[in-house]
This record gives sequence, structure tokens and C-alpha cells, in this order.
Amino acid sequence: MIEVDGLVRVLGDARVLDGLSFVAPQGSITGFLGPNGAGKTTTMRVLSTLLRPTEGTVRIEGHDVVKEPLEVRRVIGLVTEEPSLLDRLTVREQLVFNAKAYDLATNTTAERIELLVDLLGLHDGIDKRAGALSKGNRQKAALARALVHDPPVLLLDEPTANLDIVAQAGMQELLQRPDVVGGKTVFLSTHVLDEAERLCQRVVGIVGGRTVAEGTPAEIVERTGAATFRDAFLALVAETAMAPPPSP
Amino acid sequence: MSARHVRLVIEREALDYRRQKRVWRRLFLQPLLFIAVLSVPVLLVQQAQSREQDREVTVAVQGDAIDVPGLVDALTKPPLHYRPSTDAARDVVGSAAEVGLVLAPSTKAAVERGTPVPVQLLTLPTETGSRLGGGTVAQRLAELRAATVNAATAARGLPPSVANPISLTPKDLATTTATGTRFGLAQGLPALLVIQLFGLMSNAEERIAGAKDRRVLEPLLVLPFRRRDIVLGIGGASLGIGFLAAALVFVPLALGLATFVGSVAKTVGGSFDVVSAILVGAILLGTFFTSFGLYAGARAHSGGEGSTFVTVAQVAVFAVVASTPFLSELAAKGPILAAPVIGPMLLIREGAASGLDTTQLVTAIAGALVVARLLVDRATRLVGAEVSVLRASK
Repeated sequence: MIEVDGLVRVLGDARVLDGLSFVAPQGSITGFLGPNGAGKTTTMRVLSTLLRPTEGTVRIEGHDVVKEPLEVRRVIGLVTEEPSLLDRLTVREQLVFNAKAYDLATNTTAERIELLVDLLGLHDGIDKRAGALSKGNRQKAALARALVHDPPVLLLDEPTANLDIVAQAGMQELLQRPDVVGGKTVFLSTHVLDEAERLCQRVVGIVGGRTVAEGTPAEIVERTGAATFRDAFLALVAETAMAPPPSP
Repeated sequence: MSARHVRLVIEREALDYRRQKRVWRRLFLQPLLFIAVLSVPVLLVQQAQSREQDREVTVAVQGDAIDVPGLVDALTKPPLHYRPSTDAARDVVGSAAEVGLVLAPSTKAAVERGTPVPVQLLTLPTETGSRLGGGTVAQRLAELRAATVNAATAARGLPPSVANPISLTPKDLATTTATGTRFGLAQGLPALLVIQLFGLMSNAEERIAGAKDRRVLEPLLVLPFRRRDIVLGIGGASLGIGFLAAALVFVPLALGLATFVGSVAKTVGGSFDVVSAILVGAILLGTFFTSFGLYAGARAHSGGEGSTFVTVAQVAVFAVVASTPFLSELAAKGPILAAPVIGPMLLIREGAASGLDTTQLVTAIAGALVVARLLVDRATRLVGAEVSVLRASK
């Protein structure tokens, strides 16, 4: 479970996150929706301990990101927009490195890698250098790396943003499969509304660093009285843009 | 610190290094190119000197040389070539002769009176031929003087030691003794080591700042590793690769230099002082360059920013290396031994020349450790800060 309460993050003069609060329940896929510049990536970086919060608390599986960063890193797997793989190392070498980093035994590592290769369809790419793979396969390799230690929490920061339509569909199909993400708390940041509606049991909307919506897609549609989830979310964004800024 | 985590990062970095051609070029080829470029002027000067030493020296003689017994004979023996002149200075300046001799009009009278003959020796020191030729003529005149004195003392029944109480034989220590070879090596070794290990700074910087560009630092930072372990792992791999390159390139190079300086095998192979000076100096210089590179990489938002910073630092290091010949009066003792770059350079020079004592070693090692610790601490803090994940614009 991910619990965020009153999260503020200041970068330079900008208050990028401004009292953000939400909960991502255990064992479900929570979509994190917002326009460009809303603060999604900054939130993901705080959740993954890459940035410290300026104010507020963030707990992942009960561990505070400030007080227990190593414990938080043990229970998360992170996939970002860029696969962030070392081009000259093979996918297998990078998965083995990550497995060792999480203290997996050698035979467990081999089993996990074989399982992930089967699940993600990485048979052709596993022993190739990452730099030689297609974008879609690189992103699959990044997903395999995030899953190799079987973390209970998976943080996905716009994982389909740089993919073509076929690779996007492949990645979305993977994220719907129980054998890939079943039982995990998945927190999926995206600005693609259709993707969120299709994949996520719950969504959190963020605009200007603040939470503007939280619930199931159906609840949000019902609350706004819009015809579709897309219209509902656009209405929320417009409403927030017209609202006066909160008093400090 | 977790030794296991540091080792894991080192293994990963080393694997990536092994497949990165640019690193091998920087660590192996760059030092050789530097040394080749630096050697060219030295070789050219040596060649020119050797050519000039074998060349005939024309001596333009103004005045009546015939009046001085033995002078014309002395100036006609090879490599000297006697040439009568009406204006010796003009002949030398106009390159008609390398050296000029001007005898005063009173020469004949002086010889008859038995008083010294006034002679001016004219050279153009900016011309190598004239400078070397001047020395040859002066030596020939000294021989003539000695022969004249010997003849005079013998005529009076005195022993030759009255005229020549000292029998002088010059000996070039640099090429004939082990100690001299060590002194010769001591002048060249520090600069060569710096050049060899220079690439470590850029490498360590690139492994962090370049990783930010390629977005491959973030996956390391979300592992359950302490930031210090990551920085030490990256630094350890850089240092290891640098020493491997140094071992493969520098040892043959040092032996080559030693052979060039003189009779060397027993000096370099057998001298514990020389070998330990190279080893200690390499460790201290390598540690400083690597930790500085880590700091430069950690403080930069991008590879470009990091490499600009390192380039500026490298200019400063070059300035120190270039000033080495002027530091011969600077003693290798006291706090200066603890200073980065200059301290290890003095230590290597001292060690190669005359051996090291414990105080010198402790001061230099302590200084290098403190500086490296400060730089790694700073790099660790910066790697954990927002500079590691945010673009420069933020």
C-alpha cells in the first residue's frame, strides 16, 4: 500500500507538489493521472526515494521514505519513461545484477529470470546487449528488471509514453495479466486517459501538484455528471484551472 | 558501508568499462600520445646538438695570429677551421663563421714582453653551432695555454705538477652510475605518472555525469544500496581500470626512460626505493584524480557540464606539472606533501632520487586520504540530491 499525506515538494522557487494526498490500496492498479507538468514525475521520484519531500509524509508498505529509504527501496520496483538500461550489458547481465542487489540466491535468480523471460516474451532479447534491442523490448527488459526481485509495489512512470502503438498495446496487455502484476500494488503514472480507464481499478487525479480526484473511474464519472471518464477528467482539470489558488 | 554492495557496483562498472572502447583509448592511447608529443621537441634538440657537435667550426681570426706561437696550429686542427678576417664580429653575425677571435694590435709587443696577449672570443649564443663552437675554441686555447706553461716549467727543470696541480677527468653520472640514473628518473617520473593517471579524472566524472545523461544512474539509486556504496563502487572500478592501464603502459615506459638515461637494469629492477616511489605516488595521484572526478560528476547536471569542470581542473594540474622543473628547490617535507598533485609529485621525485622516510610517507598518505574522503563525502551527498535526477534548467 502507498500512503501519501500532505506531500509538498519545492524545486527552486516552484511548489511542484502542493499538499498532495492519496492512498493506493494493496493489490490493485492505481492510475496517477494529470496533464504535463502536473507533478506526476516528481511524485514518482519522491515515492522511489530519488527526491526527499519538502513537507508531508509518504509511506510505502508501512515504511517512511525519509526515515527508512533502504526498506522502501527493498519493496519497490521502478519503471520509468526511459528504460534506463546500460547499452553495453546484456539484459540477462542487468537482471542478474539487480537480483544480486536484492540478495536473491543464484538458483532463485535463474528461476525468476526464466519466468520473466516467458511472461514478457523476452526469449530473443535476453542475451543481447540492451543497446541492440527495439524500444518495445527495452521497455520490457526494464519491466523485467523492476520485477526480478518480486517486489510488492510496482511504480510505473509513464512506461508507454515513448513506445509505438504496437509496443504500447503489448505493454498494456502485460500490465493486465495477473501472472505479471497480480497481487502487487501497482501505481501507474500516465496522461493517457484511455490507458488509465482500461487498466486501473482506481485513479488519482493531480493538477498543479494537488489531488483533484480519487476513486474508481466510474465514481469519478458519476461525481462530475459527465458522459465519459475522459470528459469527467477534463472537467476536473478545467475546474481546477479556474479555481483561485489556495491561501498559503 | 557494505563491502558486498561496493563489490557488486565495481563488477557491473568493470563489465561496462571492458566493452567501452573510448575508455581504453583514453587510458592507453592518450598517455602514449601525450608522451610522444612531449618527446618530439626533446629529441629534436638532442639531434640538433649532436649534429652541431660533429660539425666543422669556422673561426674568424682578426689580427696577427701568427705572432702567438702555436695559435694558428691550435685553430686549424679539426673540427676547427682557421679563417683570417678583417671584421670577425661581422663574420659571426653574418654566419660566415661560428666563432670569432679578435687579437689586439699590441699582440706582437705583448708576446715579446712576455705579458698576457689580449684576445676576445666572439660567439652568438642564440645559435647552437656558435655556442658549442665557442666552447671548443675556449677549450683549445686552454690546451695551448697548458702546453705553453708545461714547456716553460720543463725548461726550468720543474715538475709538471707545478703547472697542472690537478688532473681533471669529467664523468657524466647520469649515464654511468646507478645513483645518477635514479636522479635522472626522479626528474621525469612525476610528470609521466600524472600524464598516465590523468584520464582517471575524466573517467570517474563521466561514469556519474554521463550516467545522468543516459538516465542510468536512477536505477542504481533506487536499489537498496547506500549512496556512499554506489559512489565508492563507481570510483573503485575507475581506479582499478586506471591502474591496470598504468601497469601495462607505464612500466614499459619507465623502463624505456631508464634505459635511455643510462645503465639501468639494476637501478629500476633492483631499486626498492624507485619501485615503491612509483607505486605510492601512483596510488596517491590515482586516488585524488578519481575522487575529484567523482565529485565533478556528482555536482554536474549533465555530462557536458561535468566535462567542462574537469577540463578546467586539468588545466590547473597541467600548470603544476609544467612547473615541475622550477620546483627543484622545493623540499619534499612538511605540509606541502599533503597537498593534492604537488605532494605526490614531490614524493615520487624524492623517493626515486634518494628514498623515502616514514614521516614523508605518512604525511603524503594522510593528506591524500583526507582530501579523497572530503571529495567522496561531497560526491555522496550530491548523488543523493536532486542534481542527480533533475535537468539543469530546474
